[in-house]
Amino acid sequence: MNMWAFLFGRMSAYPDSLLFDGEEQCTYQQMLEQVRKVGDALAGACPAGTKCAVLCGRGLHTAQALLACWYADMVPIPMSVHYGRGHWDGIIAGTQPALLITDLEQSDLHIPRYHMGEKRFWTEKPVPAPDPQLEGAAVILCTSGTTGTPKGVVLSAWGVQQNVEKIRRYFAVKSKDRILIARPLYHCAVLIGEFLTALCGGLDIGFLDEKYSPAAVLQFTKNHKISVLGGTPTLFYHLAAFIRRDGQQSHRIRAIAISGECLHEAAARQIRQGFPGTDIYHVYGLTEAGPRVSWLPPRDFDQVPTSAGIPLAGVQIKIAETDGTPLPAYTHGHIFVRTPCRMIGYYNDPEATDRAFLDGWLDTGDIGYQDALGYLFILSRADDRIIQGGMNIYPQEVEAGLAQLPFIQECMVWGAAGAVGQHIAAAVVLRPENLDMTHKEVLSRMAEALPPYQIPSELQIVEMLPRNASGKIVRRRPTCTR
Amino acid sequence: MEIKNTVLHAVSQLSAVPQEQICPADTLSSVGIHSIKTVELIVALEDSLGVTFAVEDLDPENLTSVEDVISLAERYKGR
Repeated sequence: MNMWAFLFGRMSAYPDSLLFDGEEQCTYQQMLEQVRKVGDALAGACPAGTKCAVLCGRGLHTAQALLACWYADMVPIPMSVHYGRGHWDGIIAGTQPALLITDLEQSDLHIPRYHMGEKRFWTEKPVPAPDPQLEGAAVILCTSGTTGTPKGVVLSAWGVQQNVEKIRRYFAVKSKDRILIARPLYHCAVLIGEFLTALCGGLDIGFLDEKYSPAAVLQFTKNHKISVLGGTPTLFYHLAAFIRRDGQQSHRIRAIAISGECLHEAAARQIRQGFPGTDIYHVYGLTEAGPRVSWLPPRDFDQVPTSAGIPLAGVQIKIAETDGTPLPAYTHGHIFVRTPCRMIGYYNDPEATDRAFLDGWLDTGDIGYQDALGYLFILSRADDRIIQGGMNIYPQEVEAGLAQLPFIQECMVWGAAGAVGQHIAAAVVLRPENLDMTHKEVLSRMAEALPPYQIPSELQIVEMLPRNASGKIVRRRPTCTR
Repeated sequence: MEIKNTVLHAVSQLSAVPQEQICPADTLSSVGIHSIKTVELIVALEDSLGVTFAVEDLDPENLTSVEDVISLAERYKGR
């Protein structure tokens, strides 16, 4: 079944459920009518299988654009306005969409555009470019890559639908619930775990388009009687801090889903204090797995809050050596997943796709263990990836940006532990003619050169970077500063 | 002066820049305070100043410089 047939059938069962943001609201029935109009315009210009980037400032527009792409049997590539021009350029260069759907007035990305606000093509109609390798694909979701170029994860329509249905089996939400989507639909967990799951369950869906602002999230939940919310441990930790000062009766949220970062015991306790009567689902997944892999039943949260729980129905988890040899309970190892929702592969990168799988098992790149009951615990990454506020950032991406600065001779970036998750730390060696630069001057120039989410929170100016015996840089905090 | 120093200290605790190099005219981003760190700054200031900022005063668009944060803190301590 293609995406549109799947979604149309489910949305049609809830014609009066609502989609809304701070500016407007519409029923599912009205959304279906709007989607048909936009989708007909797209279908008239692009054959099935055409790739289409989506870059909208409003979540409601993004939702409508994605649905219109599926109506027209196109393959959408969601992007986020929060991550900046370099990020968009990387995605467009890597995936080569034929069309961009946007609601931005100033977008100067040089590909044919359909304007979501005006509902018309702004530039010449696209040159159709269906791609045979996207047969059966629902979406291309881009994740960070070690080279700084985003990797496009191609998910199949069948896999996406399976993941939605598997999530709905355990996530006890109903059509009378109201969910707030406070993060971009660019993120797989938000698109599939929140938006599509809510849409298929007939929930009222609110979008908050502000940049990271727990205060605004809390205000929105109060104003719009939100009962369901998804987010990272960082978001819920900050929400708990704001709720604590307002008193416990400051929200009506009855179910939350936490994902995107390792959840530590202390942060879990803070979150529970802010959400004392709430069902807390600690869930785990990754884009390549479609995304959801496991969930912790809410009844277990207070006993084992740091556990990412048990696999979804039909999903298998294996803790193993790097060669796939299984390890016994409580032994730390690589987390492998076998799931019917797995990606088709990385777009245009069969070698990377081959490397991601071992005998049909997806190598998550995460390290963890299972207890005797099979409950999963995530400990760290097998590689250097930094997870800051749920955003995946490879040190190499930041280093590539820093290397462009003329006063930096060499640099190194790593993930340092913060109050909840990780933050970016950097050590730099200045060129001899720039040794008088202060921390402030260096950081200020970094802030001009890097997208906001890549600016280091910690900076060391050092005389040399730590290296091992063979001269390779060792990615850890230097012991000697200048 | 006391509030200004409290804010500068709080900023320096979250920034990679030492307190003596931070001045009110600096933008928060120029000293490495991005959106998540801004929230941590607000929470830290509420604790140290014993105040509760109203949500409408916490719009990130209105809190772009160290001076903005000092002004916010002074308004609440002056109440």
